[in-house]
Amino acid sequence: MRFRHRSPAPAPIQPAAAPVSVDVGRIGIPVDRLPDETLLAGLGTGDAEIAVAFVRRFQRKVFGVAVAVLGDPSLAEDVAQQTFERAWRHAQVFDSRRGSVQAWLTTIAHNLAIDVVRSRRPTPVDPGELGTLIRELADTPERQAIARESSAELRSAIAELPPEQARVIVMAGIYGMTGREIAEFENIPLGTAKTRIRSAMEKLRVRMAGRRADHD
Amino acid sequence: MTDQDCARLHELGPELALGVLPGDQRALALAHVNRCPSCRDYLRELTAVEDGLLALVPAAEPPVGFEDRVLAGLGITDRPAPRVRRVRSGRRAPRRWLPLAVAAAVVALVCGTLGWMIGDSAEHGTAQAIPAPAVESDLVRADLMTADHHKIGQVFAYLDKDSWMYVSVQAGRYTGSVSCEMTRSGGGPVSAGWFDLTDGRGYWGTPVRVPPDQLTGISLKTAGGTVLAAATFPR
Repeated sequence: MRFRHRSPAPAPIQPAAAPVSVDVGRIGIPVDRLPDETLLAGLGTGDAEIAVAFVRRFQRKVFGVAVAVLGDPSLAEDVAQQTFERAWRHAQVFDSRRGSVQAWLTTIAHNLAIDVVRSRRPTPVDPGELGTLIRELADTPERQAIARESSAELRSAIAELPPEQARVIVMAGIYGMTGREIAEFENIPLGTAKTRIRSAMEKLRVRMAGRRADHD
Repeated sequence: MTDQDCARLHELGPELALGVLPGDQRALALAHVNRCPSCRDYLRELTAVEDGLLALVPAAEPPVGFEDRVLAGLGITDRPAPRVRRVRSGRRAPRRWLPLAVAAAVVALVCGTLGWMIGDSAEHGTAQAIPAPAVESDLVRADLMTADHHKIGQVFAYLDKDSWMYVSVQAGRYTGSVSCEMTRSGGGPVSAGWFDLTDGRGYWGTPVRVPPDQLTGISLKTAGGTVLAAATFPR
């Protein structure tokens, strides 16, 4: 099981003696406009409309992670399907304090895909695929018309990494390669591989932590 | 806890956050993190990087028929017919309009999310078997607002002969029990029960204990009696 910590909760809301509520109008709520957490909670009911809305909302992201790791659309589809099945089975244990529904799903998909890779993989990753994925992760904000600020910051940070550090970040973070596997693939000492991972992650951590501090 | 332990965690933290640390080292690192708040914060920041990396992975269109295969895998074979939806205002909408699935979501949020429900007790809401709605009925929503106009959650109320209400709180840092009172027209508030918030977050469902046409809203109070937030349903 992957270890996860999440960002702290936002600033406290101060209770007061005389709260004011706001009428929002007696409206019906289309299923496809329900919040992610509500849709997830309704997934386990067996209701087709909720299930369809849930799958449609997240299928591209889930399949995208699976196919990025596996490189095989057929295997990726199996992993993506298993991801939704796990979400359906474990919807009630989702804790929104630990992150978004999308982050939860992509983590499940990533873990399942890594398990498949580790059970099959004689060759960790195609160098061509590695280069392509690095370029996609580091794609500039100018080409991401509606890129979120946090994503743009991380993309920029990845683009600024030395190439060897960007490679190890993708190999470890996306393809799930251990330090030893990276060392063998890159033909470098294990210590060098670990140092590159540490250096790259520290740079990315500082950039993201700095952006959060700016917004606090 | 020693400085050496923290230094070791700083060495192992990146691989731990990326999920590629060997098992024995992972166990030692996690054991230290459980004891060290500073290293826990550090690891939280590293994990945010990993989450950010996954979020950057491009989305991809799955093969044709993927949706159907997933639904079949979930045991769902009857696809819903397309519905025409419209926004109502003012009068209570005709029953034929309201999406049954949304009402079912409210039911599911109470029935299915047992991990979020408070256990049986005299002071807390109890998990009860909830009948599936026999006919489409109104699902209404209102924002939970504090006195200084901060939205901290939502209330969904499914109003029918078996009415239920679902409260979702997702803001602030309050930790503790909160009581929920249903406010009604022509009478005093009715206690609906208690549920817990942790770091400002919590979810809870309960039967509506007043006639649906009298329900005007809810208020949430802390254990000390301070009103945390309130919501008013439209008339």
